Amino acid sequence: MRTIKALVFFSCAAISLYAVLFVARASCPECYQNFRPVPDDGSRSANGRPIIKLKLTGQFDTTPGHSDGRVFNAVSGAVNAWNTATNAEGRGAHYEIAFNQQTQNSDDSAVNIRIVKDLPGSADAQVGRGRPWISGPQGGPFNLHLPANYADICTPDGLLQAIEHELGHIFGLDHNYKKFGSCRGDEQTIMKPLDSSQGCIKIDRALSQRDVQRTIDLVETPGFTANDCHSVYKDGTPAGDQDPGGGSGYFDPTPAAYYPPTCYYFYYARDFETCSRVDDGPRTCSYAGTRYFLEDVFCY
Amino acid sequence: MKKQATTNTLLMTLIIVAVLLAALFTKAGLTEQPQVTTPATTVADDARPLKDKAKQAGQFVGYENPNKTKRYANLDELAAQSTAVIIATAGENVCRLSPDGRSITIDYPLSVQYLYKGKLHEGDSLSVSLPGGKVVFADGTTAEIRTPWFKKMQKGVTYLLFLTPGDHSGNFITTGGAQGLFEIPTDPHNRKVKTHTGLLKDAIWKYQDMDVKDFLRAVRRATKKG
Repeated sequence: MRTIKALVFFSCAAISLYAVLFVARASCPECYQNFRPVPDDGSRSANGRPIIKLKLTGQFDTTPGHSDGRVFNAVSGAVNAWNTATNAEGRGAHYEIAFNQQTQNSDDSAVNIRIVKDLPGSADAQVGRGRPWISGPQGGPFNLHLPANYADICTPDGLLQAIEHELGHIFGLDHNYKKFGSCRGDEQTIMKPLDSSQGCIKIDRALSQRDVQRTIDLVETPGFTANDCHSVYKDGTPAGDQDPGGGSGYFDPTPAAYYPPTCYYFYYARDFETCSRVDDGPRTCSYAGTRYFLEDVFCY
Repeated sequence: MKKQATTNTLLMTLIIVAVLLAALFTKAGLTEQPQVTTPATTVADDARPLKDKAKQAGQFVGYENPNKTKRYANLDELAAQSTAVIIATAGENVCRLSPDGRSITIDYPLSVQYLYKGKLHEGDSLSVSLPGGKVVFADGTTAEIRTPWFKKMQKGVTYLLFLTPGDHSGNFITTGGAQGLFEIPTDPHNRKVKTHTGLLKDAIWKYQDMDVKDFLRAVRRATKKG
């Protein structure tokens, strides 16, 4: 009898725990899909992963044939971080990046990613507006743009993280902004840049097991590519149609200076009033101010 | 034997409580505050007076739909539809229930500092109502109308306002809702104009961060046409 009672208790506890965790997990939606995967050319790394070839262009040479050490080290560190990161099961990202003597000396057309410098006043610098960014057709080859002064304004770690983040885009990962205010405590990802309005881009979190898992899912899980967090909500509602009619929040009219698409911050805006009674009269309220909680970013 | 069973049951209960508490804490960590509430109902969904809604809910909160206000494409259109265009500094506001009891406004006293259009004069006092605010009823219940897409005025800050007569009390309202309200910089180091509309891709956003001199020049041109 006691055994049955114990079993019932344990079952209830397990069901309650599962239910609560499921609700919590469901409240923070996923966010995927940026650039489409690089086409598989059949080349494989030692552990069987498709290889993406990366090259630091000669624009970063301080002397002929010798790249700026700060940029070279940051690229090496970022590549190494992606190549060695694993998901929860210990599996690596879908791709492995080759950044070595061979790719460095390759013809530009033979590599998938070229790291290029946005020279001041150039058309690319105007597009990038002082941020790293990616250009190129879906599937590549891609140019990973770095502002000319980026090695000067970023710390070595900052530069490394910025390149790690950009490589995430090439792996197919989009910015993780969705439900930013309520989910940022949960989401461990390299894909969440914070304020980059001045100086070096700031990344919220480190490369995570979930980032690695997404690179795998994007290629291997059917239907995964349907989730584009820049244009469609998880429920399929087009992002642009979600709020404007309802006015449930506040869009900052000043575009965010993240990347070439024009991005707007969407805030949950909570007005605060103070209410008081004068003498024996009725209590009256007056508007005191508004608190804004960043909810999402919409890019066009 | 019976004592042993009671101890086991107690232990079991404690484990379950601990597990539930842990799970709840985990949830709290995953869904970090602030808790964001989605407007379930807009004011227009339910035509009852706010007092009745407050009586039922205790603390009624509703959202006003921005689409009830006509929107305009530029300063020319705003000026043409306005009876007055002024520069003024906002005073201490007070929230008021509308005469029909179905909406709330935040009423600001203003003193005209500069007149671009209308029959007012510099130094004249007027009251401008913005949508939203909170009221407390005699029974202690409250009603609050939220208009998050409309950035409100702050006491002591200078604004350019496109105004039309309101529905009641002789107050003015801003033309085109939030479109008709701009913050004018008075700081010599910041010369950028700020729009107060938070509706995505509002046509008036084109004036956001415009240099104040250029903006006021455009306002002058627009009011002369109007």
